[in-house]
Formats: sequence, structure tokens, C-alpha cells
Amino acid sequence: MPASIPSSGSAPVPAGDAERDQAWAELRRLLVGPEREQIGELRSRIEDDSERAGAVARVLPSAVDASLERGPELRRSMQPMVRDVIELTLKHDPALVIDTVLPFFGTLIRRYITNALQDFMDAVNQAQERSVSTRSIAWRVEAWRTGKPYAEIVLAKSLLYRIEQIFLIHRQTGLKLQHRVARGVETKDADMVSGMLTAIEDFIHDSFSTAIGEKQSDTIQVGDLRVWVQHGRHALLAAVVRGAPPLELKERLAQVVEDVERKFEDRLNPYAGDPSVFAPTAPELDSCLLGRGDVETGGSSRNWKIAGGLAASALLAAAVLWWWDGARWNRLLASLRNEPGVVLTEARRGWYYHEIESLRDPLANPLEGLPERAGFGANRVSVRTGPFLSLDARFVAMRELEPRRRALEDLRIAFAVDSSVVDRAEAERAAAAIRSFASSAAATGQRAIVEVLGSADSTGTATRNTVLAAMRARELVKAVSGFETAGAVLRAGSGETGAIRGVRFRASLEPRGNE
Amino acid sequence: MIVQKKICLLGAYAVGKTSLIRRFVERMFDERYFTTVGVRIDKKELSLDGHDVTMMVWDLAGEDDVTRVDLRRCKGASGLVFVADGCRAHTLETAVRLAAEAEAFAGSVPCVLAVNKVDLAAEWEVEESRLDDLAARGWKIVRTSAKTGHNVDPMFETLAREMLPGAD
Ligand SMILES: Nc1nc2c(ncn2[C@@H]2O[C@H](COP(=O)(O)OP(=O)(O)OP(=O)(O)O)[C@@H](O)[C@H]2O)c(=O)[nH]1
Ligand SMILES: [Mg+2]
Repeated sequence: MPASIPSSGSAPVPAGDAERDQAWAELRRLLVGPEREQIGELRSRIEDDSERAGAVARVLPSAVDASLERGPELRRSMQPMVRDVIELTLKHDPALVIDTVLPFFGTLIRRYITNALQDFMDAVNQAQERSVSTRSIAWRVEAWRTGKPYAEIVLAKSLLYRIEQIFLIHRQTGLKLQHRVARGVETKDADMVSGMLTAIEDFIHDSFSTAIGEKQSDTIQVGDLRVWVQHGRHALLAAVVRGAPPLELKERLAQVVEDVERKFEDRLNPYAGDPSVFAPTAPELDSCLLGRGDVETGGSSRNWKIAGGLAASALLAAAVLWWWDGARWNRLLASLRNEPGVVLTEARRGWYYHEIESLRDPLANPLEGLPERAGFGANRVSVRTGPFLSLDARFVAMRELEPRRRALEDLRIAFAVDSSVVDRAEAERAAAAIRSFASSAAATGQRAIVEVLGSADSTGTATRNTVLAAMRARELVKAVSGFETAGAVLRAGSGETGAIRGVRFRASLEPRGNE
Repeated sequence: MIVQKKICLLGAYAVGKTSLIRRFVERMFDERYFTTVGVRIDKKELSLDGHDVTMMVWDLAGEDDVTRVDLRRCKGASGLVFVADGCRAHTLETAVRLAAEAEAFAGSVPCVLAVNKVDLAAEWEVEESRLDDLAARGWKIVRTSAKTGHNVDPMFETLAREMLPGAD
């Protein structure tokens, strides 16, 4: 209807007739008012973007429904856009797409591959943390040596990686041909994982119509787990990767696929379903499990070498110390064994403290200071002694020496009044006592010194008495010299007065050997 | 000797593909319906006539008004199971059509047609005459129930026997 409404500009309005003009306007308002408002609203809907967007949004769902009912045109025209969106999302967050498009896989793959490795990874991480001091020292040295910033070295060395599993998969069927794992890694079901990896690969390539080139490789990220997939003509080689391996490893994978395909071409195409024919590929696949020997990357293996070196030198030092300690220990034991009057009953050698139990004759040399003389520090060796009597000739002799000396010194040789004549029997008695003492002294390595002290009683003059005492001593020495006295040295000492009418002895010892 | 084979299950949505596999692999059944998104893969090891067969069973999302079955997933399969719901006659026609389309991807491999939910006799919709007609055209038809387990193992085993080396 609005199209038929005459416009005010073309309407014949009588000139100067303001009243009629107003009447026309009134008429128009009455006639077309509601439509005009609608037209204004429509115009603003068309011209205002946000208004328009709101309007489209209101009808879009039913419009799409209607369109899909009519035919596939809308789907066809929207597909490229949807694909672009998915492709973008996939680029930014592949895991998200895998989880939404193949929800069953994300969790399963993670369960099959990731969990089994967790314990192992924890162990490795712990070891890394523990070795941190030796490692950081080594890095500091390297930074200093190369002139690179320390942080750069740390970054480079911290890029740990490990190829944990290798799957050789038949590309068309998704069947597992061979599966190898790094030492310490466990997997649940390689058959399932093989199938799922293939499905993911197919999904990615089918969805975006990217042809799978023969030498192409893809990276699939599922959680913290990364899988490198290397395509061959008939086989896939999938490597479960942890960390950030050098990209050269991809070339290694490509090489292995090529090799396997060349050798097994006839068994891959077609594949009869018997995986045992691929058993010989094991060594080649194992060669991709890089880090077999140095699983935790080169840097860390060097740390281990350093730690190993330190441990080895510590061991060596300990061995040297032990040996040295053993030498002085043996020295101590030998000196104890050679010590007369000491019997070693028990010797316990510890890492630091040593203990010795012994029996010691009271006459034996004191044991204090013996460990120190063997080279031990203070309080390193505890020496306990119990008493005992040694039957060693020397100790027997020493034990005899004292009583014999006392016997000798108690001996009195009597003389007649005012006489210096020695009675022969008395002389023999004196000689026997001297001999007994002197032989004991000899047995203990000493010489007996016997002083013969003459004396006179108080009768008679002092002068006479002095002479008499000296004469008696000299006479006795002369008389005793006729008898065997076991090397005793006899000295006639000065006389004494006012004591007895006779001779007595004073015994002493002197070391032998200085004659 | 162990032989590995890939098989696929195809059909309309909610006909019981996932349920049949669950019954076959885990010996379980769930009344609840969780539609399959994308693909599921399961594994079943069985011993047949002296052969050890490892079956990798691919469960493809069913076809509905919006989603077509992704037939590319059938490539490399050694056998196909087409599943229909006996209580929804049109799902039988979907299965027959999918069979024709799948050949382009899987080649001519052994097939079996599972008409499922046979336990729901009261709601049965599929005409016996239609099944006879298909059987006459060479279809191997098995009436199954994932719920009771009826004919489930025989259905998979029939297919497996045909895939084994030496079978035609
Ligand atoms: N009574 C009965 N119910 C069944 C049987 N098989 C499947 N169902 C039910 O049917 C519904 C769908 O089963 P699914 O196995 O998920 O169907 P599907 O073919 O995998 O479906 P999509 O994954 O969506 O393609 C579920 O609620 C099942 O419990 C059956 O043999 N008997
Ligand atoms: Mg399902």
C-alpha cells in the first residue's frame, strides 16, 4: 500500500492556502499514520546494523531448519566455513578437537599411555631434582667456559626428551604390526592405541582433505602427551614423545619407515593380519627409542657421570683411609702382642672407634699412650685391661726380685767380738742371698749392685770401731767373691758404728748393657 | 598363529551397534543410550577352529538426519556388520543402503546383517517378507539382542569364520 501513497511534494497544494495545507497533512496523518511509523521502523531496522543483527538472530534457527528441509544447499554452502573454523581450532588446540570429535580416544589414549608412565616419570624427576647441585655446577662451568649466559645453558639443557614408545602400524587397517617400549615403560593395550592413532590421523586428513603425503609427518597432542606420526606408503610409525626432542629425530623415524617398507613391502600390501612376520623389525624400532642408555638426555647423563665420578673418588678415598687406618691398627695390635705381660683378648675395629680388651700383668709396662704411638688420635681407641700374672720368665723374675732383695737386705752376717774374720759358712750364706737376688736381676735384664755395709757395736773406741767396720765389709766381699754370685757387683761400703756387730747389705739395680 | 582383523559396525543411530559390541566384548548391557561420537575402537580376542583371532572392532557413529556415516573409516576392514533395529523398519533400509555405499571403501568383504532388539517382540516392525527377500539376495541375516545376548556371539563368529584365511 505505501507505494500508492502520493508524496507530499507532488501533491497539488493551492498557493497561499495554509489552512488547506494543514488539512492535507492532517488527512495524510489520519490515512497513513500507522504505516508511516512502520516504514520508519523498517527503515531503521535495515539501516541500523545491530537492529538488523537482532532481527536475523530471531529468525535464523527457523530459517536454517526450513532451508535444511528444502534441500542440502545451505549445508553445502556452510561446510567450508565450518571446516575453516574447525581447522583454526585444531591448529590452536588439537587436544580440544580430539576430545570433542573423538571423545572416547582422548581419555583412553591418555589412560593407556600416560598413566602407566607416571611413576617412572616421577622417579626420573626426583632424580633430576636430587642431582641439581652437581648439575648446576656443571652448567656454571659450561657457561663460564663458553661465555654464554647461564640461563641460556639451563634452558638448553632443561629440554629433556624421551621417545618412550614406538608403534609400527598398518596404515589401512590401523592394526598394530610391532610395538616397542623404552625400558621402564609399561603400556596397557598397544592394539587399541594403534587403532585410535590411525583413526585420529585419518580424521585429521579426511576432514581437511589434506592428502597424506608419503613422507608426511604429523604431531598429535593429547594432553601432555605428544605423538609423532610418520607416514609411509603402507605403514605408520608413531612415536610417543615426552619433552622436546630435537627435530632430527623425525628424520630418523622417516628413515626407519622407509627401511621397513622396503624390506616388508610384500607383507604390507596386502597385510594378511599376522603381526609375527614383523618381529624382525624390533631392533630397528628400538633404535628410535632414543635415550636407551642416556634416557634422561645427554645433560643429565653427564650429571650422573659427574655424580658417579664423585662417588667413585669418595669410595677410593674411603678405601685409602680404611687401608691406612688398618695399617696403624695392625701396628697397634702388634705392639700389644709384643708387650711382655700383656695378653690381647679381643680387638674390635670399627669405622672410627676401635676397642681393645686385654690382660695386663701389674709389672708390665703401662698401656697408656700405646695407641697414640701407633698413630691414632686421642680417644680413638679404648683399651681396657684386666689383671693377670704373667708366667713370662721376666715377670716371674721381677716378681722374685723384690722378696729376694728384701731377704738380702734383711740378712745380717755376724762377726766375733773385735774380729774381722769371716766365718766360711756365714760367707756362703751371704753369697747365696746375693746370688739369688742377682740372678733375678739378670733375668729382668738388670745388674745387681750390692753394697756391703760393715758395722761395729758401740763397745770400744770410735776410731777402732770405724776401722773394724770397714775391715769387716772388705773381708766379706773378699770371702763372697770366692763364691758364684751371678754377676752381682759387690762394693764394700763405708762402715757404720753403733749398730750391729757384723755386716748387712744394701741392694740396688742398674740396667745392664752399659758395661 | 594369531591373526589380526579389523571389522566395522554400521547402521542408523540407536539401533544398538555399541550395545552389540559391549555385549560381545564385555558381556554387559546398558539400557541407557549414549550416542557414539566419531569412532570407538574395541578389541576382542577369540579362538575359532584352532585360529587365534584378534578382532579390532570399530564402532562408527550411527546415521541420523544430520550426520552421515563416515564410510571412509571402513577402509581396511576385513568384515562389516550392518545393524538395523527390528522395531524401526526404516533402519533396515538404511543398513541396506549403507552396505551398497560401503563397498566402495571396504571392497567386497564378508558382511552380516544384524537385525537387533529381537527381545522387543511386541514392538517388532520389520516385515518377515522383507527379510526373506534380502536373504534371497544373498544377505546373511542374524536376529540379535544385545540385551539378552541372543545370537550376539554367533553373529560375530560367523563373520570371523568368513574372514579367516582359507575361507572364501
Ligand atoms: N531392548 C533392547 N534394547 C537395546 C538393544 N540394543 C540396544 N538397545 C538400546 O538401544 C539404545 C541405543 O543403543 P546403542 O547401542 O547406543 O545404539 P548405537 O547404534 O550405538 O547408537 P549411535 O551410537 O547413536 O549410532 C540404548 O538405550 C540401548 O540400551 C537390544 O537388543 N534390546
Ligand atoms: Mg553407538
